Amino acid sequence: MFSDLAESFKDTLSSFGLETFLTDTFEVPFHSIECDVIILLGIVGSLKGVLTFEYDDNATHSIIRTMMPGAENEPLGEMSLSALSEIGNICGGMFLSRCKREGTDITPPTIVTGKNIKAMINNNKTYRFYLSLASGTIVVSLSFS
Amino acid sequence: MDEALEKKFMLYFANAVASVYTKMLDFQPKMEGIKKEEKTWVKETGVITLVPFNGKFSGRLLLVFDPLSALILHNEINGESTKTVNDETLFTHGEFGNICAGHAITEINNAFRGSNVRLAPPSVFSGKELTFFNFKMNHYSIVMAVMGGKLTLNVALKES
Repeated sequence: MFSDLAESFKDTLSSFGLETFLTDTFEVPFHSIECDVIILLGIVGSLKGVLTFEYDDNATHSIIRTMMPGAENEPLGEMSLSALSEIGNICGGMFLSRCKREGTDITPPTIVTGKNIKAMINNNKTYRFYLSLASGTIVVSLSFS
Repeated sequence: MDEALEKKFMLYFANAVASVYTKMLDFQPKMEGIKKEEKTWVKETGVITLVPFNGKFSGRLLLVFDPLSALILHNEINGESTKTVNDETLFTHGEFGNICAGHAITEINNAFRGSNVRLAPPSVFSGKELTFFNFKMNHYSIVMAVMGGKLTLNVALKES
Protein backbone atom coordinates (compact mmCIF):
# COMPACT_ATOMS: atom_id res chain seq x y z
CA MET A 1 0.00 0.00 0.00
CA PHE A 2 2.82 2.38 0.85
CA SER A 3 4.53 1.72 -2.47
CA ASP A 4 1.17 2.30 -4.22
CA LEU A 5 1.11 5.77 -2.68
CA ALA A 6 4.67 6.59 -3.66
CA GLU A 7 4.09 5.41 -7.24
CA SER A 8 0.78 7.27 -7.45
CA PHE A 9 2.41 10.52 -6.40
CA LYS A 10 5.36 10.15 -8.75
CA ASP A 11 3.02 9.24 -11.62
CA THR A 12 0.78 12.23 -10.87
CA LEU A 13 3.67 14.69 -10.99
CA SER A 14 5.13 12.95 -14.00
CA SER A 15 1.87 13.49 -15.89
CA PHE A 16 2.50 17.24 -15.45
CA GLY A 17 6.09 16.91 -16.67
CA LEU A 18 7.66 16.95 -13.21
CA GLU A 19 10.21 14.29 -12.32
CA THR A 20 10.73 13.43 -8.67
CA PHE A 21 13.14 11.15 -6.86
CA LEU A 22 12.35 9.21 -3.74
CA THR A 23 15.01 10.01 -1.18
CA ASP A 24 13.82 8.58 2.16
CA THR A 25 11.02 6.47 3.59
CA PHE A 26 10.15 6.15 7.28
CA GLU A 27 7.64 4.74 9.67
CA VAL A 28 7.19 7.32 12.44
CA PRO A 29 5.08 7.06 15.62
CA PHE A 30 2.70 9.91 14.80
CA HIS A 31 1.60 12.15 11.94
CA SER A 32 3.01 15.67 12.18
CA ILE A 33 4.00 18.30 9.63
CA GLU A 34 7.24 19.99 8.60
CA CYS A 35 6.46 22.53 5.87
CA ASP A 36 4.45 25.73 5.50
CA VAL A 37 2.18 24.51 2.67
CA ILE A 38 0.10 21.40 3.41
CA ILE A 39 -2.54 19.68 1.33
CA LEU A 40 -4.70 17.46 3.54
CA LEU A 41 -7.15 14.79 2.42
CA GLY A 42 -9.23 12.55 4.64
CA ILE A 43 -9.79 8.88 3.90
CA VAL A 44 -13.24 7.57 4.81
CA GLY A 45 -15.02 4.25 4.74
CA SER A 46 -13.56 0.80 5.40
CA LEU A 47 -10.20 2.53 5.85
CA LYS A 48 -10.14 5.72 7.90
CA GLY A 49 -7.11 7.97 7.83
CA VAL A 50 -5.34 11.14 6.74
CA LEU A 51 -3.09 11.80 3.77
CA THR A 52 -0.92 14.93 3.64
CA PHE A 53 1.34 16.42 0.99
CA GLU A 54 3.79 19.09 2.14
CA TYR A 55 5.83 21.33 -0.11
CA ASP A 56 8.79 23.50 0.76
CA ASP A 57 9.32 26.83 -1.04
CA ASN A 58 11.55 25.41 -3.79
CA ALA A 59 9.19 22.51 -4.56
CA THR A 60 6.22 24.87 -4.64
CA HIS A 61 8.10 27.19 -6.97
CA SER A 62 9.03 24.32 -9.34
CA ILE A 63 5.49 23.00 -9.54
CA ILE A 64 3.93 26.41 -10.13
CA ARG A 65 6.55 27.27 -12.76
CA THR A 66 5.68 24.09 -14.68
CA MET A 67 1.91 24.18 -14.29
CA MET A 68 1.39 27.94 -14.53
CA PRO A 69 4.40 29.56 -16.22
CA GLY A 70 4.92 33.10 -14.98
CA ALA A 71 2.90 32.62 -11.79
CA GLU A 72 5.94 31.37 -9.86
CA ASN A 73 7.18 34.95 -9.50
CA GLU A 74 4.04 36.11 -7.75
CA PRO A 75 3.00 35.56 -4.15
CA LEU A 76 1.25 32.24 -3.64
CA GLY A 77 -2.30 32.96 -4.77
CA GLU A 78 -5.54 31.07 -5.17
CA MET A 79 -4.79 29.74 -8.65
CA SER A 80 -1.41 28.39 -7.56
CA LEU A 81 -2.83 26.79 -4.44
CA SER A 82 -5.65 25.32 -6.49
CA ALA A 83 -3.05 23.67 -8.74
CA LEU A 84 -1.24 22.18 -5.72
CA SER A 85 -4.56 21.03 -4.32
CA GLU A 86 -5.46 19.30 -7.55
CA ILE A 87 -2.20 17.33 -7.52
CA GLY A 88 -3.14 15.98 -4.10
CA ASN A 89 -6.64 15.19 -5.25
CA ILE A 90 -5.47 13.27 -8.33
CA CYS A 91 -2.83 11.38 -6.37
CA GLY A 92 -5.28 10.45 -3.61
CA GLY A 93 -7.77 9.08 -6.11
CA MET A 94 -5.07 7.16 -7.99
CA PHE A 95 -3.76 5.70 -4.74
CA LEU A 96 -7.17 4.39 -3.63
CA SER A 97 -7.77 2.98 -7.07
CA ARG A 98 -4.47 1.08 -6.92
CA CYS A 99 -5.18 -0.18 -3.41
CA LYS A 100 -8.47 -1.69 -4.64
CA ARG A 101 -10.09 -1.14 -1.24
CA GLU A 102 -13.86 -1.33 -1.64
CA GLY A 103 -15.93 1.15 0.31
CA THR A 104 -13.13 3.70 0.66
CA ASP A 105 -13.11 7.26 -0.58
CA ILE A 106 -11.18 10.49 -0.17
CA THR A 107 -12.55 13.83 1.03
CA PRO A 108 -12.04 17.07 -0.92
CA PRO A 109 -8.59 18.55 -0.24
CA THR A 110 -8.00 21.34 2.25
CA ILE A 111 -4.92 23.51 1.88
CA VAL A 112 -3.35 24.86 5.06
CA THR A 113 -0.68 27.55 4.95
CA GLY A 114 1.11 29.50 7.64
CA LYS A 115 4.40 29.99 9.44
CA ASN A 116 5.58 27.95 12.42
CA ILE A 117 2.50 25.75 12.39
CA LYS A 118 2.16 23.38 15.33
CA ALA A 119 -0.05 20.45 14.40
CA MET A 120 -1.27 17.05 15.44
CA ILE A 121 -2.59 15.33 12.35
CA ASN A 122 -2.91 11.88 13.89
CA ASN A 123 -1.25 10.21 16.86
CA ASN A 124 -1.00 6.82 15.16
CA LYS A 125 1.81 5.17 13.22
CA THR A 126 2.54 7.10 10.06
CA TYR A 127 4.18 6.15 6.79
CA ARG A 128 6.27 9.03 5.47
CA PHE A 129 8.39 9.49 2.39
CA TYR A 130 10.47 12.33 1.05
CA LEU A 131 10.89 13.20 -2.59
CA SER A 132 13.20 15.67 -4.20
CA LEU A 133 11.92 17.91 -6.98
CA ALA A 134 14.46 20.21 -8.60
CA SER A 135 16.07 21.76 -5.48
CA GLY A 136 13.00 21.31 -3.31
CA THR A 137 11.53 18.70 -1.00
CA ILE A 138 8.06 17.17 -0.87
CA VAL A 139 6.89 15.17 2.15
CA VAL A 140 4.03 12.70 1.79
CA SER A 141 2.54 11.12 4.92
CA LEU A 142 -0.21 8.58 5.45
CA SER A 143 -1.73 7.49 8.75
CA PHE A 144 -4.76 5.45 9.71
CA SER A 145 -7.06 5.44 12.73
CA MET B 1 -27.03 22.70 -3.49
CA ASP B 2 -29.22 25.70 -2.66
CA GLU B 3 -28.30 28.17 0.05
CA ALA B 4 -31.25 27.34 2.30
CA LEU B 5 -30.23 23.67 2.36
CA GLU B 6 -26.60 24.57 3.00
CA LYS B 7 -27.60 26.77 5.96
CA LYS B 8 -29.78 23.97 7.31
CA PHE B 9 -26.78 21.66 7.01
CA MET B 10 -24.67 24.23 8.86
CA LEU B 11 -27.16 24.34 11.72
CA TYR B 12 -26.74 20.62 12.35
CA PHE B 13 -23.04 21.27 13.02
CA ALA B 14 -23.73 24.37 15.12
CA ASN B 15 -26.31 22.64 17.29
CA ALA B 16 -24.03 19.63 17.76
CA VAL B 17 -21.11 21.83 18.85
CA ALA B 18 -23.30 23.82 21.25
CA SER B 19 -24.77 20.65 22.73
CA VAL B 20 -21.42 18.91 23.24
CA TYR B 21 -19.81 22.06 24.67
CA THR B 22 -22.68 22.49 27.13
CA LYS B 23 -22.49 18.87 28.29
CA MET B 24 -18.70 18.88 28.69
CA LEU B 25 -18.18 22.32 30.20
CA ASP B 26 -21.59 23.00 31.74
CA PHE B 27 -21.72 26.29 29.81
CA GLN B 28 -24.24 27.16 27.09
CA PRO B 29 -22.52 28.91 24.14
CA LYS B 30 -24.34 31.93 22.73
CA MET B 31 -24.68 31.76 18.95
CA GLU B 32 -24.72 34.59 16.45
CA GLY B 33 -26.28 34.25 13.00
CA ILE B 34 -25.03 32.18 10.07
CA LYS B 35 -22.84 34.11 7.68
CA LYS B 36 -22.06 33.01 4.14
CA GLU B 37 -18.40 33.76 3.41
CA GLU B 38 -17.52 35.36 0.10
CA LYS B 39 -13.93 34.09 -0.08
CA THR B 40 -12.70 30.53 -0.68
CA TRP B 41 -10.41 30.79 2.33
CA VAL B 42 -10.43 31.65 6.02
CA LYS B 43 -7.52 33.02 8.05
CA GLU B 44 -7.51 32.15 11.73
CA THR B 45 -5.41 32.40 14.91
CA GLY B 46 -5.72 30.01 17.83
CA VAL B 47 -6.35 26.27 18.03
CA ILE B 48 -8.14 24.98 14.95
CA THR B 49 -9.61 21.51 14.52
CA LEU B 50 -10.25 20.30 10.97
CA VAL B 51 -12.61 17.38 10.35
CA PRO B 52 -13.08 16.34 6.70
CA PHE B 53 -16.18 14.46 5.59
CA ASN B 54 -17.44 12.78 2.45
CA GLY B 55 -20.64 11.24 1.10
CA LYS B 56 -23.60 12.82 -0.68
CA PHE B 57 -22.33 16.03 0.95
CA SER B 58 -18.59 16.53 1.19
CA GLY B 59 -16.34 19.15 2.69
CA ARG B 60 -14.83 19.96 6.06
CA LEU B 61 -15.62 21.38 9.47
CA LEU B 62 -13.32 23.87 11.21
CA LEU B 63 -13.61 24.59 14.93
CA VAL B 64 -11.58 27.70 15.74
CA PHE B 65 -10.95 28.50 19.40
CA ASP B 66 -9.13 31.71 20.28
CA PRO B 67 -6.02 30.99 22.40
CA LEU B 68 -7.59 31.64 25.81
CA SER B 69 -10.81 29.71 25.23
CA ALA B 70 -8.74 26.86 23.76
CA LEU B 71 -6.80 26.53 27.01
CA ILE B 72 -10.00 26.76 29.06
CA LEU B 73 -11.47 23.84 27.09
CA HIS B 74 -8.31 21.80 27.74
CA ASN B 75 -8.22 22.63 31.43
CA GLU B 76 -11.93 22.10 32.08
CA ILE B 77 -12.00 18.71 30.32
CA ASN B 78 -8.72 17.44 31.79
CA GLY B 79 -8.89 19.05 35.23
CA GLU B 80 -5.61 20.88 34.68
CA SER B 81 -4.30 24.45 34.80
CA THR B 82 -2.14 24.55 31.67
CA LYS B 83 -1.07 28.02 30.56
CA THR B 84 0.32 27.22 27.11
CA VAL B 85 -0.88 25.07 24.22
CA ASN B 86 0.86 21.69 24.26
CA ASP B 87 0.40 18.31 22.56
CA GLU B 88 -2.27 17.30 25.05
CA THR B 89 -4.19 20.48 24.21
CA LEU B 90 -4.15 19.51 20.55
CA PHE B 91 -5.22 15.97 21.35
CA THR B 92 -8.10 17.22 23.55
CA HIS B 93 -9.33 19.54 20.82
CA GLY B 94 -9.13 16.72 18.27
CA GLU B 95 -11.31 14.54 20.44
CA PHE B 96 -13.75 17.39 21.05
CA GLY B 97 -14.01 18.07 17.32
CA ASN B 98 -14.49 14.38 16.58
CA ILE B 99 -17.37 14.12 19.06
CA CYS B 100 -19.06 17.26 17.74
CA ALA B 101 -18.72 16.18 14.12
CA GLY B 102 -19.96 12.69 14.97
CA HIS B 103 -23.11 14.09 16.59
CA ALA B 104 -23.74 16.34 13.59
CA ILE B 105 -23.21 13.63 10.99
CA THR B 106 -25.57 11.27 12.83
CA GLU B 107 -28.31 13.90 12.67
CA ILE B 108 -27.52 14.71 9.03
CA ASN B 109 -27.63 11.06 7.95
CA ASN B 110 -30.94 10.62 9.78
CA ALA B 111 -32.43 13.74 8.20
CA PHE B 112 -31.13 13.01 4.68
CA ARG B 113 -31.64 9.28 4.25
CA GLY B 114 -29.11 7.67 1.92
CA SER B 115 -26.61 10.53 2.16
CA ASN B 116 -24.07 8.25 3.88
CA VAL B 117 -21.84 11.09 5.07
CA ARG B 118 -18.71 9.75 6.76
CA LEU B 119 -15.98 11.43 8.75
CA ALA B 120 -12.22 11.28 8.40
CA PRO B 121 -10.09 11.60 11.55
CA PRO B 122 -9.62 15.13 12.95
CA SER B 123 -6.42 17.14 12.57
CA VAL B 124 -5.54 19.98 14.93
CA PHE B 125 -3.46 23.06 14.17
CA SER B 126 -2.18 25.82 16.40
CA GLY B 127 -0.68 29.11 15.28
CA LYS B 128 -1.19 32.65 14.09
CA GLU B 129 -2.88 33.61 10.84
CA LEU B 130 -3.22 30.10 9.52
CA THR B 131 -5.08 30.03 6.24
CA PHE B 132 -7.43 27.26 5.14
CA PHE B 133 -8.44 27.05 1.49
CA ASN B 134 -11.17 24.90 -0.02
CA PHE B 135 -11.95 25.45 -3.66
CA LYS B 136 -15.25 25.07 -5.46
CA MET B 137 -17.18 25.01 -2.18
CA ASN B 138 -19.39 27.39 -0.27
CA HIS B 139 -18.27 28.43 3.20
CA TYR B 140 -20.47 29.35 6.13
CA SER B 141 -19.52 30.63 9.60
CA ILE B 142 -21.16 30.93 12.97
CA VAL B 143 -19.51 32.66 15.92
CA MET B 144 -20.29 31.44 19.43
CA ALA B 145 -19.44 33.12 22.72
CA VAL B 146 -17.85 30.45 24.93
CA MET B 147 -15.96 30.43 28.23
CA GLY B 148 -13.10 32.93 28.00
CA GLY B 149 -13.72 34.08 24.44
CA LYS B 150 -15.12 32.87 21.19
CA LEU B 151 -15.45 29.79 19.05
CA THR B 152 -15.90 30.16 15.31
CA LEU B 153 -17.46 27.31 13.44
CA ASN B 154 -16.72 27.27 9.70
CA VAL B 155 -18.08 24.64 7.32
CA ALA B 156 -17.09 24.30 3.67
CA LEU B 157 -19.33 21.98 1.69
CA LYS B 158 -20.67 20.90 -1.65
CA GLU B 159 -23.11 18.31 -2.84
CA SER B 160 -21.22 15.41 -4.43
